[in-house]
Amino acid sequence: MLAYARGDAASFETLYGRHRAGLFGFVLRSVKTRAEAEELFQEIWMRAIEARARYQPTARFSTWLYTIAHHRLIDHWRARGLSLVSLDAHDDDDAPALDPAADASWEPHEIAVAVQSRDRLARAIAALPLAQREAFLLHAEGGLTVPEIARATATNEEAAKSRLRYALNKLREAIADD
Amino acid sequence: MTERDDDELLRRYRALGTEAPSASADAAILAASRRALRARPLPRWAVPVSIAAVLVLALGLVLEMQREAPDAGMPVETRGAPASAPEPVEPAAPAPPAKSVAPAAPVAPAAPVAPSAAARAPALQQRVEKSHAPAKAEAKHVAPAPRAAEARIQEAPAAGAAPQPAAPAVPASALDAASRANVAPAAAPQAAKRALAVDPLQRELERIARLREEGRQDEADAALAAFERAHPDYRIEPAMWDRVRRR
Repeated sequence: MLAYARGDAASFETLYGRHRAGLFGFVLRSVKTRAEAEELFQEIWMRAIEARARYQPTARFSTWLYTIAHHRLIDHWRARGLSLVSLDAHDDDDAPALDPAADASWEPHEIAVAVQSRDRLARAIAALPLAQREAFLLHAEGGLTVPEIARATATNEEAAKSRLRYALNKLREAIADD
Repeated sequence: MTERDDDELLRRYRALGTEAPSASADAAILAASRRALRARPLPRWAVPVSIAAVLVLALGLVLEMQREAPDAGMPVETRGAPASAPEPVEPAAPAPPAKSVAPAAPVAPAAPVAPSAAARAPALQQRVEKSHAPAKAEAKHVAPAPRAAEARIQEAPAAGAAPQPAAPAVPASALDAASRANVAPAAAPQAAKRALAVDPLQRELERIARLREEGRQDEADAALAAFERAHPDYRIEPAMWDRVRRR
């Protein structure tokens, strides 16, 4: 990012290629529709571009990037009357869908099991409270550690650790029957 | 919660598949990143320097306007005032015979105005001429027509203020010259008389004009040539030029 801030366009393309999929997965599973995810994804990168001159390498770039994403998601949720600490359940049917059947190497029964497992895990993720889901997605998609999650979400490490632990426990229970 | 459990959960999570943004989103973001580099912000010194430049220009403009304001804002009549101030006060134009002008009363109040206005015009003209003497010297011998046109412009205020009943008192030659110059008949003789009182050069021109009127053309030509040699930068007013020019 420092190189990009100095005018090296290629360095941004490298960064983008490295973090594009993880950030999009984080955003996609944090909102209800792909259209929203696309819009938020672009806005997050635009903010990163605008803030390039203020970037300080005091943490990993991914922590800085997911901090921007966290702030943008808070704005998004607030606009919809949701709070990060809300314990409200979410509409499972609106969870983003994946398609393992698209992989031709899978057998039909494997596809059926995978779809069932996928749906259960996807529903479990979507059912997590916002703060726990965010902590899990930052960990799973962004590869952030507990201290980094705490930093990105502007909370203390204990709270971050607690949110992540609760999220993992719930998801583990959801797939325990597989 | 064990690390092995976490790893298994993450493996299964990743098995869900990897979603990717659309190609249009990729293109928009990468294009924005390149655009941002092209439109780099101004250097830090640019804003203060711009403000300073604007202030300096504005200050210079204000000072220039203040310096020019006294002349530019003054009306023409006021600027001509010093030239006309020392002129002797002339009596009003001779009143026409009562029997020829019946409505004498409405005309009388206007009579004192005419000499004053008419007198200012030559004085003002002379003042302007002195300031532009080198440029005007060449234009002295131009044909009478343009001079008459010029006179029309310069004498217009006087003509507008001059009362028509004063016409009978005007000498024929002066009336002729004034009419050709499109000047009010009363203004020309009044201006000529006043000029004679203050300007010896005008007296000399008047003498040449009289020679013309008396038919002594050779003497008039010689006198005019001598006058032009002695005062090459003196601009003869159009009405007078019509009277003294070579026939």
